[in-house]
Amino acid sequence: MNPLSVWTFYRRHKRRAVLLLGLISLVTVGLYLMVALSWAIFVDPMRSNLMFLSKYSVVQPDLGDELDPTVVGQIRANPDVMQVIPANHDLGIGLPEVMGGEDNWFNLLALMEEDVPYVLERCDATLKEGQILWLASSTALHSPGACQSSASCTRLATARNGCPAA
Amino acid sequence: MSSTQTNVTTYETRHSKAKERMRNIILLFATTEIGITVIAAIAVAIMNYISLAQRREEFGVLNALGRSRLWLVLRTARETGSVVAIAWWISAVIYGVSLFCAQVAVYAPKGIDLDLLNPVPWLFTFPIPLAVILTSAGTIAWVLRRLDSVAVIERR
Repeated sequence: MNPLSVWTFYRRHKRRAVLLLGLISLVTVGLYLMVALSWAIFVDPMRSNLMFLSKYSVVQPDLGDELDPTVVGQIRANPDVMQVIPANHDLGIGLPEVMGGEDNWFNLLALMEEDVPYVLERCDATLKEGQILWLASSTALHSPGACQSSASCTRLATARNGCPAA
Repeated sequence: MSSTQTNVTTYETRHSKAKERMRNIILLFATTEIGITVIAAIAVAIMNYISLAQRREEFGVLNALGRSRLWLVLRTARETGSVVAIAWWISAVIYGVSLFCAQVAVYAPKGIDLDLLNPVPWLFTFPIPLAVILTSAGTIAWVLRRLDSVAVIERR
């Protein structure tokens, strides 16, 4: 038996070792859980809510519901813009907050039916049966006629190089 | 494009705002962690001081036998380091089990995913073990600086 080994030390000072072990474990577990559980509530939803913007940029009217046709024309004419898609971005779904308080708000995108295949392709997503579209990390509800007129629609501009266009 | 009538939302603009909010949240956690780390370090320093006072003879004899003070400090740091490493692994198992239970019972039913591989919470688990090791090494170095090994041998 090596009298100077760490294991001999533990055998001699069991109580101290157990006390230190328990103290560090408890504090470390507490801190980890505090950060991990709060991160999932406050940060992850915020991040997943903006991920769709890595594929598109959104142009909305500052006042009112309708985009100025001149602005729409400017967007269409911009050589960096690959496609202009009318969409309604004001929709959302509120998931109940884990710790109470306000709901977690997830944005939804209402598209014209003919634009759905393009958006799905761009997002590497596939259409399941029925009217629900499952995207990579979020869900979009698709309802025909949700955005029939351009009056209340946002424009999604897709850049030619694959990056968001502005 | 620029216009006073339109509002252009790009990934960059939203991401920079989100990054700012994330920075604030991390700062809040870091402030809490610093407070807890300082308290834990003081508690461990007091515990160590009491323990080292009881081991004064052991250190005195080892020092008289020719072990340098640096060797004694490193030995204590190794002792504490191994306790801390075991405690950290025990904690890691508890995190895993707790996160799995929280995911199944609370988060999944509310549509939220818990990511066990997220590095941020893991980074917050290191300051306390490091503070404990450093405090232990610091306390023993301070005690040994004033240790008279000959007096210890004479008392025996």
